[in-house]
Amino acid sequence: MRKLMVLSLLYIALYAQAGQPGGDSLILKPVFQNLIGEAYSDLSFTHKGIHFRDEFLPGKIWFSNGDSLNELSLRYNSFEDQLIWLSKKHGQVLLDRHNITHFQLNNGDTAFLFKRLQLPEAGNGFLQVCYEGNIKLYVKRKSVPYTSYIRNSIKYYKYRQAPVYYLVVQGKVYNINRNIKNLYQLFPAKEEAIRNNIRGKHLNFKRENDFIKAIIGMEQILTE
Amino acid sequence: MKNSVLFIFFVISLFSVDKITGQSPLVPERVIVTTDRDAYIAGENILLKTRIYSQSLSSETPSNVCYVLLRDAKNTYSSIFLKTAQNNIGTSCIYIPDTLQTGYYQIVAFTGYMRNFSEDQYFYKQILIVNRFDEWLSNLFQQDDSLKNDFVPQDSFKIFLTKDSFGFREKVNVKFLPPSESQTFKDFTVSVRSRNPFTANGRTSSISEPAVSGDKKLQFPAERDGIYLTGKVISSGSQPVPGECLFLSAPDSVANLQYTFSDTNGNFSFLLNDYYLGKQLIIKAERKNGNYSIIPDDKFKLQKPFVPVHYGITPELRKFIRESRNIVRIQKSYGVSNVKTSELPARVKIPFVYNGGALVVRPADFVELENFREISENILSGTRVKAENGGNFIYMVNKTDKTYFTKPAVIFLDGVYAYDLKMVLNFPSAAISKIELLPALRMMGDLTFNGVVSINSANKLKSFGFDEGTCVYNMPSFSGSTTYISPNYAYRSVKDPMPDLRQLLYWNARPDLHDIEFYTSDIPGEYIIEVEAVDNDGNIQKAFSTFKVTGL
Repeated sequence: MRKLMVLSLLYIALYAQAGQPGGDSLILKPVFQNLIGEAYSDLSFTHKGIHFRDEFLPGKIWFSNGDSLNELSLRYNSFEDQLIWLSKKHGQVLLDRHNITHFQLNNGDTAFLFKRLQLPEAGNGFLQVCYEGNIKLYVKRKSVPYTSYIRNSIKYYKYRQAPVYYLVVQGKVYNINRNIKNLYQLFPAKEEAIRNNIRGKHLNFKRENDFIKAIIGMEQILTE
Repeated sequence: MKNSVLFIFFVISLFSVDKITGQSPLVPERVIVTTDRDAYIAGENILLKTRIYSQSLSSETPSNVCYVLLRDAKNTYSSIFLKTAQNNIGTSCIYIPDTLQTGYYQIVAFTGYMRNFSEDQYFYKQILIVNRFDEWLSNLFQQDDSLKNDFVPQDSFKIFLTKDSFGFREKVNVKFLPPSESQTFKDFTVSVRSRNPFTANGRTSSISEPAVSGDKKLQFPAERDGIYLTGKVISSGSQPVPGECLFLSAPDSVANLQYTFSDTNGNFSFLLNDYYLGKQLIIKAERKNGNYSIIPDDKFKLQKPFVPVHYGITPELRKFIRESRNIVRIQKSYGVSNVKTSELPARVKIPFVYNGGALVVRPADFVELENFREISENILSGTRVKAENGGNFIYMVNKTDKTYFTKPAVIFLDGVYAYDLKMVLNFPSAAISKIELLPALRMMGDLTFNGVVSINSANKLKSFGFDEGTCVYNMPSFSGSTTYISPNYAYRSVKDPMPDLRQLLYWNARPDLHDIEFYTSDIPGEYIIEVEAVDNDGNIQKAFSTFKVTGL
């Protein structure tokens, strides 16, 4: 038993040595210094629902110089279009966007990929990628305040999610609603084909997943 | 049973050590350089083709930065960074200074990663350079070996010519065929040049044997994503300074910063992207401490000396040198050059400290103020200049809680990190073009800044290196990609009065081999076609053929 303990300690010691930046710092890429930002005041106590997801999620960030960083605690403020990093050393940091190309939030089996894009309709900001093929579907995750109240002299705000969808077909950007009639209006020449495509599939456009599925299913029709 | 478990655990531990400590055997790289010729006149260009090979069986790509230098037994005269493009091949040239003395010189090539191994693995090639004005050639009298005319054409692949003798400015078609269909070659280099007694000797090229993998510690990483600027921090007693935070920035209109920490041996490294090329880099410690020095590595410094082999001088060589010298003299007076260099596309990513969001103040928009303290008091709201610990610092009001930070703000002067306001304290409004303020608690990786002040001077500051302990490093640019342009007499009259005195008729570095065509010049004599390629097994194969230009 004592031998086992000695060997365990030896193993742990070797592992700990490897983790230190001193020994082989020359081979480390300075990836961590891509995280640039400023101290962030968390508003979630008084601004309910201001973030895309209330809790910090494990995530990954890709930077414009080709570097990437994994296993970061991230949260997206969908009202201000801000990416927040929960640092063990600094606390909550509002990250500068200039060197971030995209980031991903992992919520269990679901991954939300956001890209920094400049679409004519959406301006410059982070857009969630729903689909990227011959057509592209992005969502601007927006939260908008819809009510406020005062309790114990503190003013509280409530936000609701108000996503805006952008469909890119053959380089042209369409701002679309989760509404089949809106699709007919945008593509009047393809109304019949779109109607035939979704017929019998029992899709409910009030459910976002059904809406995305329907749009992806129309890829061929829209690009013909 | 218990002992067996212990034994298995112990064996697993041993096998894991390499992976844990990152000390797996290093797999060496190899650099091969091909030059257009072996003998040059000062004032000409040495055309180079560089190939970097990884001997790793994994898919890991080798370095894409190569260091090439030209030296004699005493000094290094030229050193270039060369970036390889597709297929890890790079082309470039070294200009031979006009004032270089006649003698034997050496081209040395290696990658940063190869510095983990012995210098014996570098590429070396001895060449002859003759000064245009050296009539006596006394430096060539020494003889260690004789120049025998032992040139033997090889037949790694067959070279076909339509005839053996050509006229002036006549088109020459050359076909190449491998000896058998099963053999394939890649990375071809073709040089067609005037034959000289020195080349015929065939003893000038030296391709070192590949290094052997070994249990070496990785000290110099492969340069694929940029160039590593490495160095050491040492104390006044020459002792290594571990754990020192070092800042690197380049003079620019925007505040830029990279940081690193020195390791237990005082070694540090910065990975530099294309942004830093051709710039003056300023390296400082985070805190001012004049008791140590930051010493960057001289990557071109070699331990292994160059001991030239002297071949003496034969009447043939003397005749060839005399003719070549006259040709170069004429080419120079006509301003003829067949070398075209193009800049490599750069991928510039500025390491911003911040990008946007700053409050911008232009002192020229306000009444003239005498010094920076007055500027701070009158037009930089929420700032305070304070003299303490022998320096002048600027404190900012935190925009979040509207109170002064307890520590001074970080200062950038013309984009470069500065310890304090010493350099700009006496600057009047007219000397400062712009001040940017970020009154927030900023983070950059491990670092925290209590606000950022970036000051741009009206006339760029020139004395960044004044602070003690500051290191100034001039980062060279990559040498451009070089192509050799031979005249095409299909479009240019053969009666063109401009003399065509090329001794190098054709030079091309290409991945695959096709038939080639070129035109002869106005110089009669024997010419050599040299083809070099890499076979299936990664070995260099050469083939030679000759033809004559008689003008008849």
